[in-house]
Amino acid sequence: MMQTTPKPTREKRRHTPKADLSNLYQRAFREAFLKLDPRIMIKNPIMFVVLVGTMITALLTVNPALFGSYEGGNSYLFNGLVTLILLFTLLFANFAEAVAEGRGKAQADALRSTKSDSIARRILNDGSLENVNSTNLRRGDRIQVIAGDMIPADGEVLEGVASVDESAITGESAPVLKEPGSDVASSVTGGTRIISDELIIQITSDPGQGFIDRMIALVEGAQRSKTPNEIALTVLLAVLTLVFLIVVATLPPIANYINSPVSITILVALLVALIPTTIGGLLSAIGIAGMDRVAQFNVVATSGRAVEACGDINTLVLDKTGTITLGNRLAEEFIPVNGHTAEEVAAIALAASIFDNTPEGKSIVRLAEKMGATLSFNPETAEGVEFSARTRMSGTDLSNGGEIRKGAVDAIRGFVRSRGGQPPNDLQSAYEGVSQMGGTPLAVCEDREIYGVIYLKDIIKTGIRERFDQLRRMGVRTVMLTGDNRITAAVIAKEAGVDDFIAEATPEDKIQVIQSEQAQGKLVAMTGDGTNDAPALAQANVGVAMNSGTQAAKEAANMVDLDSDPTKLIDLVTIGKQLLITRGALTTFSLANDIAKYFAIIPAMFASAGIGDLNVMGLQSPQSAVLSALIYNALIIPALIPLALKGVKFRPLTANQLLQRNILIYGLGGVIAPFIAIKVIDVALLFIGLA
Amino acid sequence: MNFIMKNQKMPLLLFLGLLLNVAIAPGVYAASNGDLNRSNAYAIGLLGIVIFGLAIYLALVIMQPEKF
Amino acid sequence: MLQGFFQIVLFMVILVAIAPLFGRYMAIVFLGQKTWLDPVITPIERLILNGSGVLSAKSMTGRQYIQAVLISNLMMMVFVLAIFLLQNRLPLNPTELNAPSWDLALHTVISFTTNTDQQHYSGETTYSYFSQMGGLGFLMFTSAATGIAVAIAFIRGLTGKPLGNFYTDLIVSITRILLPISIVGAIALLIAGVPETLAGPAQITTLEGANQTIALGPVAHFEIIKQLGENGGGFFGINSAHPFENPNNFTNLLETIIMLVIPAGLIITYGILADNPKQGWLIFWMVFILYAILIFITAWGEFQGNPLVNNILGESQPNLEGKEVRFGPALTALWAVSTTGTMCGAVNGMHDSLMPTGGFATLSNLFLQIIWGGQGTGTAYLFVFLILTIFLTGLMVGRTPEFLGRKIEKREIVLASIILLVHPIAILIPAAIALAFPETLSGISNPGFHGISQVVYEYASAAANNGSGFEGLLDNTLWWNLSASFSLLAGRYIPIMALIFLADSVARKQPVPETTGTLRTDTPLFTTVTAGAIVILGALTFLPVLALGPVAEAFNLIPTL
Repeated sequence: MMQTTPKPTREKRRHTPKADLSNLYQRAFREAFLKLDPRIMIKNPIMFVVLVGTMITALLTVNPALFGSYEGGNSYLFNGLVTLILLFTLLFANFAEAVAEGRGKAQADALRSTKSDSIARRILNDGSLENVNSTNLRRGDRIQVIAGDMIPADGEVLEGVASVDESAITGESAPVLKEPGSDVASSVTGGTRIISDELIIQITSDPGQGFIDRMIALVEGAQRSKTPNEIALTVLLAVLTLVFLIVVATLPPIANYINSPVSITILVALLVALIPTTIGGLLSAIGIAGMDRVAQFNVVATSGRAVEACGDINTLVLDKTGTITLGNRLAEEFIPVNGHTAEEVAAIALAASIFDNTPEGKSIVRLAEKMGATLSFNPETAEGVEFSARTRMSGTDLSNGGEIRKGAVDAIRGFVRSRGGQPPNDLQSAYEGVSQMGGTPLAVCEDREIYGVIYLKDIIKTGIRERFDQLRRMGVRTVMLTGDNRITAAVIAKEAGVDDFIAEATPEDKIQVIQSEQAQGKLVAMTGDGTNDAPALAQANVGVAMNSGTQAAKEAANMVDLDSDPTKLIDLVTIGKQLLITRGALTTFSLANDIAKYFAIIPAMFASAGIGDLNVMGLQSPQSAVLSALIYNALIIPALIPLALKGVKFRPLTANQLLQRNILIYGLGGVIAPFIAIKVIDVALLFIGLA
Repeated sequence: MNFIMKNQKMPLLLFLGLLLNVAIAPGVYAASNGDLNRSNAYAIGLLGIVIFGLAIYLALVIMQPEKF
Repeated sequence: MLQGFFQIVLFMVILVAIAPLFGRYMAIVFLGQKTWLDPVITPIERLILNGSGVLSAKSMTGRQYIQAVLISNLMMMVFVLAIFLLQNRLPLNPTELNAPSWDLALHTVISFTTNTDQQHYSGETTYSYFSQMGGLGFLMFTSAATGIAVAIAFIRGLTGKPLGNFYTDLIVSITRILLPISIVGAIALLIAGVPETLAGPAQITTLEGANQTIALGPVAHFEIIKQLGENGGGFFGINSAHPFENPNNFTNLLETIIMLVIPAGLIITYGILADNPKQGWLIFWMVFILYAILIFITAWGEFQGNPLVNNILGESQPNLEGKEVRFGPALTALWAVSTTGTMCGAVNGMHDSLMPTGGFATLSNLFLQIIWGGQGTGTAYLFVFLILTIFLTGLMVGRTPEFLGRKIEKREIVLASIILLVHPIAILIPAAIALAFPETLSGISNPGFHGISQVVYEYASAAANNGSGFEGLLDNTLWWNLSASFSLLAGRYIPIMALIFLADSVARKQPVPETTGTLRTDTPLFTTVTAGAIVILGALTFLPVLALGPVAEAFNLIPTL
């Protein structure tokens, strides 16, 4: 079986799977009709009631005297028109859902295309290789992948070092180095491509269970289970529908009593106008679109529940490095000690960093060169000393036996002592001074002589302060966790505008923070990437693992950020809130609309009861009043589809300001808008002679 | 609703048919004071059953919204 | 008209002044703190309830609480039903009345146990003194106390406390609240001229020389608990329009105030128990404004008078049909709105004779049942509306809705929604059936739009546990007694069960701390939104009926409007 995947060009893979949205509307249009199947409609209580109503009016179109004769001529035409409008109401609602699903499907297809079946080389127990279809791989299988292969499933690197192109899922074009044992670099995702060397991988997910599969299922809406708030809202909508069903069903005897009988068609029209069809038709589209939006942000959520929970978050636990500050600290200043000058420190720092290719090292070089420092030796003859976690320093060994080092102040102290030197007295104050500025101090020395301290400045991400301010206004408290000492942590916390911080934090502290917040009834979100973050991710109500993180972290989290951008949690909070706001706003709008519909239909229904003065809109005739209200009722659904799909814009205001704003737009607006719209439709009906 | 209907569809239909024939349609016919003919009475009776069915359906939605 | 205006304003000032006092007092009672009545009442309680342990019983779960309410109420019904059916063999029956029909007795018992006091009879010619005092008088205390106990349990649950013990709250409501006020009030009525005697009817020779039998009885004590407990079941057939129940303007003022103090005060009690007096006051003013609007609508209609009558007179006169001249249009309108708003159901004039605007206002009161609302239950319904509003508005600010720091989720919405469903089921369905068979069932005396009002009013009054009648309805029939009993029971016990389960479920929730992202419910904005939600939800449900009843009647009465 030869399955060749065309080698995608770079351009095409620059961004996250570009969804193919052509034909979206044609397909949705077709779907809208297919969804009229009562077995599908029964899943949507409100629209199911409309469907039953449509069937009744359809019967009445065929035989207007089915339920007895009523006054009023051309009821064939009228019943037919009502049936048609009701049918369109259903189609519009189905269309809304189909468009949302279609976008999800397109997104999913794009993802799926990265993941077509391929042949994988499974390693058998005796070490020999066996070609199997990738769909037959099971958790625990070991496979070999070589340059050019598609990695068939999520897994953990056991052996080998290789670069992997993850652009298919992250959009990041630079290849990523994968190797076993390290926290971040040892996990691979199915659908990515190995572009050099080879790896032995242990599969960590069964087919259909990988991240991409989960994301596909979610955006397609296939596995979409209702979120808690959606369920509660469904109850409320069903109750209102039942109330209106009773109201309408009990009307005929009352109307007959005063000898102004009402035709069943008008009763069906009244019922459909009253039940909250607007929100009923758009509810599932809102939910699917919400998931879609999460996917567009390049986040894989394992459930809609988790996305909704984002909107309720009270506390956000964030790592400092990579989230609040740029991962790379930059050299800011050289602080001399023991009578040396800053220029001397710069020269030594330059010498110590010349082989250091980390961003920090490069920034030291840049700063030193800016201060005019030059190398006093030929780098060709010297040798770099790599940083290691044990020594906590790096540096350069000169050909003449000189040892130049830079590193953590403690480590350098130890080094100097071991060479028989004595750390100068003013080293401590330099160290504290840097800490108090929120920086990381690195000491530099040559042999037994400490020259000074490099002030590595933590660069707080631009705009992060504003985002925390936004969060605070939304009522979300931020807690920063850092391994830094208290002084540094306090300074950074203040500068970044977080509400609280935990310094010298261990992974256990993370769980503790989360638990203590949860004990107060708060919902906690956190981001993490390391294996030792896994318990905390599982403990948090919303745990977002970085895609660059370990498999364990991803398993424990309920969301995975494919871009590995921790600040994305803030966007997720917004999406979660938007979901709720959109539902609430459209429900309010739908209910507020009922007032105008009542004023259109009730006077028309009981024209013979002498309540014509209630016809405040001055509609032309009972017939046009009913038709106008129904046409409005149908048209408002497609009119609101864009809003349902995009979501009501969330503004970081306090709850009260937000309520005031939304109640004015969707509550008051929902009362007024239909009065105008129904009147306009009525005039239009008069114009085309249907009044 | 399928989970209720599946097992007892036939008996339920028979029961409703019986009810319509014996109680509802004659009741509607009697209440109408002769404004309606027999088939109207049956149609209205059926309509009543449909509305009652819808009410039960909505009550189920209220009790177990997760299933919908 | 000016005088009527001043009467109403004076009344409202008194209400606003004293309702909070009662509210605070009730809060103290249910917080179990010391009150100035303790020295008097504690020894009496000890004497009567010695050793029963009922005053320090332990808190109940929701299920236990509901069981206690249902079982105790059922026992009371059986007990009083027995008294009625045996009244011709029991003492204190000077007019030698026979036992009423079984369906009337059943309806009366259910109606009084549910704190409704809908009467399909005239008291003086149907029930003996013993039946009235021992049966009805007993139920008037217990049904009112049941309502208060449920409301307090509900408030406790909402604020996250244990629900408390039903029997304790029932007893405390009677001994600490209903009895003391009743004793003082009854004495005041006695002084103002209301009779209290066990002697039989007086035989009088009138000025024209005719013989007349004037019904007497132990009225004063009956009257005060009738008003205070939102019972409304009059000793005499025409209720507080009767000169022995409500002889003058002083008794009228006292009786009007006394029917409002507990429902109005309980809102303040809630604020104190929830540790948020501000919210209590905001809700108080919200209800007050709705109440004032309805009084204005009703009084305006009465002062306009009936255009048909005015045409004949050739001048504009207030509508005085069915009113006691000693009260006049203003005080009758005030009473009518108060009695339908508080689910008291006593009347000092005939609601059947109100102008359509009055019919509109009184029916709206019954439909909404929160414009002060019934004894205890009214406050609870207010919070149900509040919860539903919180749900919608909470979504609109992008958070899972919270009330008093507890999340409103599916279970709460289901329970709150059930309460929304009770009224359409218990009012519209039986009304539709009755109107479908107008000749056989309805017994309407005024056909047309007014007939619709009569029928709908009767069921609304039953379902809202109000008890007042639009009257003019021939309602002592098997159909009316049984169908109204259905509405009475559904309107009383389904909401009570839902309320207690709701409180129980909220109380078990982990409280959520308040942040700036939390929607505050004690703001004028939120209170306004709640008022809007109440009016819209109520209007959406009952507008068609109102349109065909009072609204159509009004338009047809005043074709030139």
